[in-house]
Amino acid sequence: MVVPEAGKILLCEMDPQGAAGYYYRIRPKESLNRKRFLKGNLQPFIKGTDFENLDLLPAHFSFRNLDIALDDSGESANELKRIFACVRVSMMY
Amino acid sequence: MKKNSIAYILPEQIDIVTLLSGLPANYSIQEGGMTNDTLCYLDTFDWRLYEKGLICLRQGSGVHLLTDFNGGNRIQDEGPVHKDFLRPDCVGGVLGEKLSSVAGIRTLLPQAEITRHSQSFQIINRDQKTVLSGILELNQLLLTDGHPTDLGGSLRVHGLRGYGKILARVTALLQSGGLETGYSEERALCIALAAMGRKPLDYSSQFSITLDPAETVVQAVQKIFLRLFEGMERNVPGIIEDLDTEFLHDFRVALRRTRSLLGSIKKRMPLADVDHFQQGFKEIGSATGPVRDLDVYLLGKNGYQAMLPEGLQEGLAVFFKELGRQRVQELRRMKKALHPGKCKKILMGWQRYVQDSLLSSALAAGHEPCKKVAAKAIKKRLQRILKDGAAIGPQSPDDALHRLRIQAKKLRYLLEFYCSLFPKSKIDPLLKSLKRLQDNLGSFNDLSVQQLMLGRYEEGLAGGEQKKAIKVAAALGGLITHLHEEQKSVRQEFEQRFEQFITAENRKLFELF
Repeated sequence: MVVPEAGKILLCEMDPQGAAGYYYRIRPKESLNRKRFLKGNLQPFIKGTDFENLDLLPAHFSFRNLDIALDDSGESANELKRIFACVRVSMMY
Repeated sequence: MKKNSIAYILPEQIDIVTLLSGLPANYSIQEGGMTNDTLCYLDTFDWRLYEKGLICLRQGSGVHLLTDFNGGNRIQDEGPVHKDFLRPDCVGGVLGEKLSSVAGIRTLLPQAEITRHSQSFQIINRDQKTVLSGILELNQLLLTDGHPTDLGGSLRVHGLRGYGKILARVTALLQSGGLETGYSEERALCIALAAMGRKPLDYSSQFSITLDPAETVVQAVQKIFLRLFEGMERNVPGIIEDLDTEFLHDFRVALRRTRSLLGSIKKRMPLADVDHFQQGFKEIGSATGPVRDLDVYLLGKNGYQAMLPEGLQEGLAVFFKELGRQRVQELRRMKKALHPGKCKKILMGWQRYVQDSLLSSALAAGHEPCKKVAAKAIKKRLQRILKDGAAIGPQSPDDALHRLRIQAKKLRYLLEFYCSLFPKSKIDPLLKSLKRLQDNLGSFNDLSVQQLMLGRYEEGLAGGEQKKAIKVAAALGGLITHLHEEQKSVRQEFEQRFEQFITAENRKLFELF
């Protein structure tokens, strides 16, 4: 879970099974994939839930090997920081 | 308003399903609950909030909301629930501070009361996911006869992040249906007022009138008198209700202006008529003067407190308590005189005279062109000020400054009455310069009157409870000393202010008349 600003929450679903997306009835954009996620260009794929101040980045089937891709980089924590950097400066939040 | 929210203007009553009947088949509308709120737009009598681009709304539950015209910069808080007014100093927190900073000493009054019927709705997709939310609001004005008048309303749509396409579809649909964006609370207020035959800023304590240079002086003064009468008449209910002190102040200013104008045209009117009404106005001035004098002291309470050390504050508190008690008595007397009493008769007689007899009873000199008469009157007054002001030196008595103050005030009134007959570019700097001189003379006079009043009060303390009287006398003595010092400094500034008023640049402006 990423909290870009006090009171506003972005839920990032990394599990390719997409249970959160199912629960919130949000389908991922067809153009979303692992490659784009790893590039850190997340803004176009974030969707609003039915709850105020809670947005969701829904999972995509291509996320299934995401853990391995992050592990391969050797610095998974720093990688995630880089990927989510765009969310922290987003004006939407 | 949020970035992806749009507010449309609804010119008439309509339901959401009809409005969005062209939605694609894979979307449906889910209507939420309906709420009805009574909303009251509050502002001061002279529209101080509106002038600053602010709207204050009271919801039925006593929640007060202050926003800018477009609904932004919202400050919301609970305030005391009183149907007829809201005193900013009785509202706490940020809201109270903001209201006080804009409204000053004025009370907020209901300007329009509406009922708002609100219906929330969502557009949901085939997954039953909300992709757009909105609210449809319809306003109704409750007229005094109990019949509601439809005022139209608004449709606010709020697009959800990641669902831009449906927002674009809905926007296109609404625009093709002829709806326009740009709904605001300010618009809603204007519509409600229009339904009542009113508009914002329909009262100002600043005098303003446009005269036709071709009209005769009696035609011009008839217009001015009627405008001043309207000013007096509109302030009477606020004086009677004692809503705030500015009603009486504005009333008395309009009265003084009337007296001054009447005095300036006395040779153009039958003397008996002028004398009759001057006498009547003098009586109204006397009937309303004591409360205004007390108001001035009571409004200056904080200033007086700041002049004295802690040890003298107790005596000052007793003094102000006594002033408050006196005000209650004087107010009762004034109300009686103003409402059913003699003052009302004088004012009604004056209105009838101005409307029906002024033009026909004017002497031949009253039919001269107004511009010529105005220029002559202003020139005469200016020359007198220049002569009297130049004669005042450091040793001149206080009375000389007092007389000059009256002259300056009369000139100011003349300039304000007739300014539309002369180039604005020349009148404005002259008025500005005159105001600076008046500030000095006014402060000198106020300080003089205050010392006199405090001294009289001090003398009258002898018969009271001795210990208390000593404390009050000490406080008043302290105040008088402070005021005297201040007055000396204001007096020293006079020569400089007068020099500023008669600069070569201003002398050129004087030639205008």
